[in-house]
Amino acid sequence: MGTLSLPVRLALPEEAQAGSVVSLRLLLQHPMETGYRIGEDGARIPRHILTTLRVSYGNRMIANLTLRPAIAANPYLALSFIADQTGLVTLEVEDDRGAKLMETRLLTVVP
Amino acid sequence: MHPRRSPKWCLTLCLTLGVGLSLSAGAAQSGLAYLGEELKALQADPFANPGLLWVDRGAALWQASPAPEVPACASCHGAPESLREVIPTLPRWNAATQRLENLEGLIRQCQSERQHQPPAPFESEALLALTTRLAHGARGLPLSAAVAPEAAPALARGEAFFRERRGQLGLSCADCHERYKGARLRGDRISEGMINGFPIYRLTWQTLGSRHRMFRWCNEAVRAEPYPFGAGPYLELELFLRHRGAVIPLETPAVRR
Ligand code: HEC
Ligand code: HEC
Repeated sequence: MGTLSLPVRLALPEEAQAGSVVSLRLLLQHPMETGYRIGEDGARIPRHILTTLRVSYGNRMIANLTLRPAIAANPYLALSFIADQTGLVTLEVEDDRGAKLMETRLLTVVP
Repeated sequence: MHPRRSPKWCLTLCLTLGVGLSLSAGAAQSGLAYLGEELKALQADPFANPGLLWVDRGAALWQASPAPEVPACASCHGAPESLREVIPTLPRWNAATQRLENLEGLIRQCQSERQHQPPAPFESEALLALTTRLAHGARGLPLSAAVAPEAAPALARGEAFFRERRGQLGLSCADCHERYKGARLRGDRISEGMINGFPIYRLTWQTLGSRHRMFRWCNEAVRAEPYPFGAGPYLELELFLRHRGAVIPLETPAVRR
């Protein structure tokens, strides 16, 4: 699901042992245009960046990032957390032009 | 015409020539061999190689019907891998049209003649994605040296283009990619100018680009007028580079600096 037309690659194991460290990896296609560059026509290329990235696990927010223009295009992000309960992992991303992306995966925790 | 060389340019090349010479010996190598460890690892990463975003998108486009009642690529061709044997032989000579055709051209031809749609513009996200998905399906296969006898003049013209000095800096492709291979140029390490990784994800571009985009960039680097995408001289150059790089395996999507 999601209205952002830009593809995303999301890697998260489907299953993890209770207490183990799980890593979520994310590759987003986005120009991350800083707004400072000058185009071939001599005009400034308007800013177009991802602004927000949130990850929740169960009913907890495990990441809430504000992204800045200094990030390269098509950013790769990885984050780790401890698997302690079976639950939904939800990723939400927004950019400064109103595009949104929401992806949800189930993480099953086994003893 | 004897264009002057820029002194700054000479300085960069001269300073780094030592490195160039030490690398000159040996068999033809993919641009991969000229990358630092970090970029080698990024290219090899089956998740984080950014070019895979285009592989994913290309896979979706391959399956999708572009308009109601219009067959998808997959409806006629099956899996993208069904074309893998063809990829290393492109560009190739088409005896019927008496022209060279490359992968982008063949995709656009199917879009207009078999799907009756406007062909995706050169360097559009859609054309890059389809090209990348198809070439990705052929990775590991060696570039072919085969050239139809009718294409021999085109091959010779492609080689002549490669060896001709051009631009305000008066440098040929061969000057940089044979003579100065291994040298450093504004942070880049000059490789042998191989085409086995295309489309490539180039950090300098912050995006993915085709072989012809690279040719245009290299023409502009010596301040020469670039040709349009799909132009005859670029197809001949591409044919020559395929022949010259024969036996190097395809590695699409390659990551380059
Ligand atoms: C001024 C030096 C220079 C000249 C002249 C030049 N290039 Fe390049 N070329 C580069 C640099 C720098 C790169 C980026 C680093 C690399 O991969 O070699 C590059 C990259 C390439 C690549 C990509 C290699 C890879 O592994 O992905 C190809 C293909 C290429 N050039 C072809 C050409 C062709 C064809 C010409 C002649 C039209 C040409 N170059 C002329 C400097 C040059
Ligand atoms: C209506 C059926 C049809 C559709 C739809 C179609 N193609 Fe084709 N395509 C063909 C046929 C027939 C050929 C010629 C095959 C041959 O000569 O073996 C061909 C040839 C090709 C070739 C050259 C392969 C070769 O062996 O010479 C490529 C690449 C290709 N198509 C890509 C695509 C792509 C990408 C799409 C979707 C955008 C597509 N085709 C849609 C029927 C189709």
